[in-house]
Amino acid sequence: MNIITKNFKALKELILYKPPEIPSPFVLGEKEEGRPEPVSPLDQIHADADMHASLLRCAERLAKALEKARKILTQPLRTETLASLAKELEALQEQQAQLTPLLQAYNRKQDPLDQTVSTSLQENRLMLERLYNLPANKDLVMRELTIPGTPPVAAILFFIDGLIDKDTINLAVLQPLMLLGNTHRQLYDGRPTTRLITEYLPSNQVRTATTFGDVLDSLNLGDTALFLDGVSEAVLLETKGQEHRSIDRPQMEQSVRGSQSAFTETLRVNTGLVRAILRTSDLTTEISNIGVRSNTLCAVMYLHSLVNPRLVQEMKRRLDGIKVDHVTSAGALLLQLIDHPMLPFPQALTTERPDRVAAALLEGRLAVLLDGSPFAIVAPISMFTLFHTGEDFSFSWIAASFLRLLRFIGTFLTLTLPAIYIAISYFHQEAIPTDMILAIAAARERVPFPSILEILMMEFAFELLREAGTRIPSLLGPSIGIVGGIILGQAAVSAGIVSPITVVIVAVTGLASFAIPDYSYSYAIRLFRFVLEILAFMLGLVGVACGLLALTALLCSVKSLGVPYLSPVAPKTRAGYDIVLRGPIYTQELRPDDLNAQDRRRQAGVSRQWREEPPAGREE
Amino acid sequence: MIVRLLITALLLGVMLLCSGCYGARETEDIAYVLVIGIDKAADGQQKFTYQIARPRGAGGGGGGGGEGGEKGEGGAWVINTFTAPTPSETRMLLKSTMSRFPNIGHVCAFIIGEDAAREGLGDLMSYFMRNRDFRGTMIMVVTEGTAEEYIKRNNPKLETSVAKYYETLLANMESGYYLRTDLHDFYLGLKAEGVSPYAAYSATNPMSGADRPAAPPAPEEAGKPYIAGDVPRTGEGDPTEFAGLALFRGDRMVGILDSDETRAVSILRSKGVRGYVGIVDPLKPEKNINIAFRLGAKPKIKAALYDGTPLYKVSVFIEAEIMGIPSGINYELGENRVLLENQISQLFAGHISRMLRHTQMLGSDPVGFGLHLRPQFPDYNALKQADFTALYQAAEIQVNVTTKIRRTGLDWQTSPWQTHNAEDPPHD
Amino acid sequence: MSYQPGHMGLAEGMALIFAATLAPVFLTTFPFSVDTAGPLAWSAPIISYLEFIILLYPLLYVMRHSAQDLYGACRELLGEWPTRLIAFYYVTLYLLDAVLLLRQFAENTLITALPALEFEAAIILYGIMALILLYIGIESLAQTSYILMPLLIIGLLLILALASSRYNFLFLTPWNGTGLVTVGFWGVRAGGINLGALLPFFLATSFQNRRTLKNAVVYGLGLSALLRTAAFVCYTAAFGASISREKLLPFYELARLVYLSRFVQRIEAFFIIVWSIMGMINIAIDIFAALYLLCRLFNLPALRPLMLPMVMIVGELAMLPPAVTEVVVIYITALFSYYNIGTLVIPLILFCAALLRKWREAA
Repeated sequence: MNIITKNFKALKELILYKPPEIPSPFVLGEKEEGRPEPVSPLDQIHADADMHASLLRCAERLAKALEKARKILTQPLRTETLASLAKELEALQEQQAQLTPLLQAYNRKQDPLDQTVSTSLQENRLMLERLYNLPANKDLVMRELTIPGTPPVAAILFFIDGLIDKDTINLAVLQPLMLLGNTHRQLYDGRPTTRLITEYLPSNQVRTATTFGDVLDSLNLGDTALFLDGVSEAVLLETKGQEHRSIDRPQMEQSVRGSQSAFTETLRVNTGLVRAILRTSDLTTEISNIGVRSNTLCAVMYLHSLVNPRLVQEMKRRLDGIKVDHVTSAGALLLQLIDHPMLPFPQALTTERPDRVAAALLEGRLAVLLDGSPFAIVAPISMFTLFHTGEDFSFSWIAASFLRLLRFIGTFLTLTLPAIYIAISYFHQEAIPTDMILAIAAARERVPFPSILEILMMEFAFELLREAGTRIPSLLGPSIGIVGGIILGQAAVSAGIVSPITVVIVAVTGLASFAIPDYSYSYAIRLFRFVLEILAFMLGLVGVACGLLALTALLCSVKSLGVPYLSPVAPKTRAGYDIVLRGPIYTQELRPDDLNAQDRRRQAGVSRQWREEPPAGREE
Repeated sequence: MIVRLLITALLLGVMLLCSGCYGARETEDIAYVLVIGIDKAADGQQKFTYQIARPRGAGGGGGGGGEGGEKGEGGAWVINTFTAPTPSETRMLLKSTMSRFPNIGHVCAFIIGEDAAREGLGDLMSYFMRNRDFRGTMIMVVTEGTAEEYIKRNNPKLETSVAKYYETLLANMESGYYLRTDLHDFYLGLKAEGVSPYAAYSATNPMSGADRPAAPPAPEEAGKPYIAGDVPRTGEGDPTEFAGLALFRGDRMVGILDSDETRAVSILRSKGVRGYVGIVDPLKPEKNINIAFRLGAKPKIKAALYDGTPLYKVSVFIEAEIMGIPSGINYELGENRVLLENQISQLFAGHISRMLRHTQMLGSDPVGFGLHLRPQFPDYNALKQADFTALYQAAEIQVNVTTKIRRTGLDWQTSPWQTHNAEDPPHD
Repeated sequence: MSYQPGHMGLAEGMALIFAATLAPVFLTTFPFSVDTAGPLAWSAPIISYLEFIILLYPLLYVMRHSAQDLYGACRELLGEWPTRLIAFYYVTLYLLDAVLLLRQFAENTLITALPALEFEAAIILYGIMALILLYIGIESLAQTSYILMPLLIIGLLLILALASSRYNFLFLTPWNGTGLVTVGFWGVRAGGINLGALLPFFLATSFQNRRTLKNAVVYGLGLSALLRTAAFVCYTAAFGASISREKLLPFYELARLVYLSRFVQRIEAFFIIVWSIMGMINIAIDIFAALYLLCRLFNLPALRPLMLPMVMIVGELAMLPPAVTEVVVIYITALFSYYNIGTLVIPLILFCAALLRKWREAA
């Protein structure tokens, strides 16, 4: 009997479905548009409670103060104690003033960042805790201390862990405040913050702030904020000590003969690198904040007596006009700054080389550096700048001109070679020598795809390889080469998927694309290449002509920070030999005309003046 | 906005793509015609022979129904012959015989049967010059017999591609025994005032070694002039050979120049002639001297018109180099050299005069003497009235050839052979 | 006025004139001239160039009368209504030029490059390209032509050089053609080609000064005339007068003649790029000129909204003639007659008016 019931139960459990006892899965609720979020009555209650709590705290403090006054008055009178009592009462009065219901109501409506620092240490602490979402947030560190003196002063230090240098805080803030002074310090004599700054704190950059906005800005940068009891100011101490990458070799713009240092992620290191090249008071670095939520530092650098002031104005106008939460990188900032974001062509130079930035500044251009990005933006530029590299001036002018020509030819090949191949093999077969067209035709006998698909397939594969090579860990880099070389080149041909001529065309095109120094320019050219290929497939060389004409027209209408993109060719301006060819170094007398710099000349008419002087040993 | 623009662009693109095939063809969907042969057929029809390349490495079953050459597996080309009233129809018929579209763009040579040439090529030229598939740079060759037979028999031994054969052969015409002529040259001769059409002459050799000279040699000359097909040779080479020039009066072929006369034309047209010639030793006529020669300067032709009769003064300057003196006479220096120079001059003057007599008789002016007469006309309207053939036939032409022996080869003088007995005395 | 073309300098002016006057080298104009002028027909570009240089000084004198462009000067000298009439005439002239060029270049594309293309598609293609070029504005258009100018010149000269083995300069004889008087008169009538050289005078306000204008005409038109002359000399030398007059596309025929070796031959396809770009630019410039004058004529505030309708009208008009021979005949006949009113008669009238005014002021 028992067995039967057991079996029956087991069977029942097996057959009958019982919903598992797990909670319903998490679903992110949707915000319904048009319906306002219901205002919880609790919010209002909390706000009122806050107000009452602060009033209560004030009352407590008042009570304490009265108690203290009573004690003092019962003892023999001493001037110091009286003075400190007076101070305390004054502070109390101030706090009282702040706590009038009207003011409080006003403050709550106001942005908390605009609120002024209170005299009450307690209030300030609560305010910061609220702003930084303590105790959930563990980044903000609070250190309560008492500064010895007569009378001893209660104080709180705030700083953000990870942004500060611990040694600095220990040695240059805490030590002098707590240990090094004697007890005869009278902080409340006069303005306490001023005394602290001038007499007791050895920190190199110290400021005071009266609003929480300023305090927060400094804290976020890695400063330490010191609040004193009874003082309606905060002392901001420079304790920045963020961990950062050290200066490395350039990754993208390697050079044979140029300098070997590149920007890092830290703004001040980067500005320092530039200044190390241009050691002049003329070099101006203006710093502003970008990103409403991220507060990223952004520096505009220029040579004050050189650059056209309109350019600086315009750049600052554009930087100030960017209203976004966060700018992730220099590249993203670039896209916010340029005139034609629809075009893939880079309208400003992005470089990781301080020497290139310095050279650009010397030509009268602007550089924009963003904290956290190892790239500098140089604007305005012309398209021809993108063909130059930092070390062009390290070679003989003949070699440098040859290299530049090579890059131009490479660009042209990247752009047109596959398109011309497609156009000719589809429409103008007579233009290929007879033997070659027969060889192409023979090679294509076994290929099951049209030429256009062959080319597009191979180019797609090549782009894949390229992207894979960029993303792959460097350990696997060589294997990508093997995969690309063997599988795509050899196997595809022997499998009869593509013809050898296609591999040759795509390989030459790919190789040529590496000759373009600027990465995003190379991208733009490669993208436009596909447009040309489709045009060539549809309309033969007429299509190629249309594409090239449209491209030229498009580029002619582009401006980089108000300077024509194709200058000094279109519009034609006076130009030295530093566009396609690079003339001898002593002929580079004038700056680019299109920048309208304040000073056109950049070297003396005869730059090598030693040629006119008697040689060493022959001086008369 | 962007989306709308993109959609518009896409629609436009689709429209362009969909509105039909714009004549895009894969390279392997095309049959490349390399040579076209033209013959006269019965009752005024035309016989067109198309020689079509078979792409290398294709192998397997060949298309078309013609005969294959002997190159590679299955042959490097296919030959098809059609008879139709117009060339256009032969092209349409050609398409019916093969899967691929015949492309005329790569034609390198037109082979024209002598009968068709003698009948007149004007009708064909009008077709060739107006049609965008043909172009002025295509080579034009007149052949003895029929073009069909010629194309079938021509099987180049050195080249894999017949196109390469014609183009290389006719690009290297230093011997001057044949001239590269193309449709443009021919058309110019047909239409422009002052020059007559001509075409390269070629034939297949029976390879019997029979000696059939076109004319007796000049007294100064060691060798004999030939016309293609008559060269005495045997062997296993390609039976085709190029020598001579087909002359036309209007659009009809009227005669053939032999190799020496053709070289005279080449010299006067300054076609970069440079070659060897064997001449009779002036002092010891039983021996011959080998000479390398080239044009020292562009020949000067001065024209004048006296009472409607043109007078041309031709001066030719030839640079020569001694290549061998079997007689051992010291021709390198002094008077002997002048003697030898005169001998060479006489030889070429003789050739030129013979050519001029021949062409004047035929009324065909391949050198273009008429062109030099053009500045003598008061204006273009007067020139258009002139009958250049009659003028050429009536013209008096003075030929003056000067020769300079510039170099003497690797020897600068000759020592006599060792004498073994008294019967063979040394030279004085 | 938002349609003001922006700032242009010597380079832009030169390029505009060059691009707007070179197109006839690719068309049937020259073979037509050979009929009248014989082997001396190549001199027509030079004669018409000299003619325009002589006209240039009266034109500059007229311009001195007014700080504005030619339209303003004309209004000041002749009054409101005659000026409108003249402007209307120029609008029709530029439109006619655009229509005829569009049709001819579309046909040429069909004949030379894409025989299987639909004819309408070719017109649409050129229309789209004209729209793109118009959209970027005349300033950028001029800059585009300036950038492409050297490439086009190199392309042209390359063909002339590559075909040089075909030249026989005896074909140019008799040197005086059909008689110097006939040829000279013909060259003057060929001055209609210089229509494009008037464009900077209509846009005078965007040029720096009158000297820029003058130099732009002298160099831009000079370069174009030089190239046309060189091309025609070479073409005649290669074909002789009697074949020259037969061809529809002299430049294309010359390119077809290139034969250097068995590797370098049949390369005319590559030069399709050269002439199609030239044609597209020229058509766009013509349409712009017509639109600009239309805006001046009716005091319209903007040019852009008119672009698409205008290009469509031009395209439709270009499709009207049934055969290419009619287009060629219309083009050539107009070029040697109707165009001359604009390039010769009206400037002279303006000059006379300016002289008259000065004489009156002095009296």
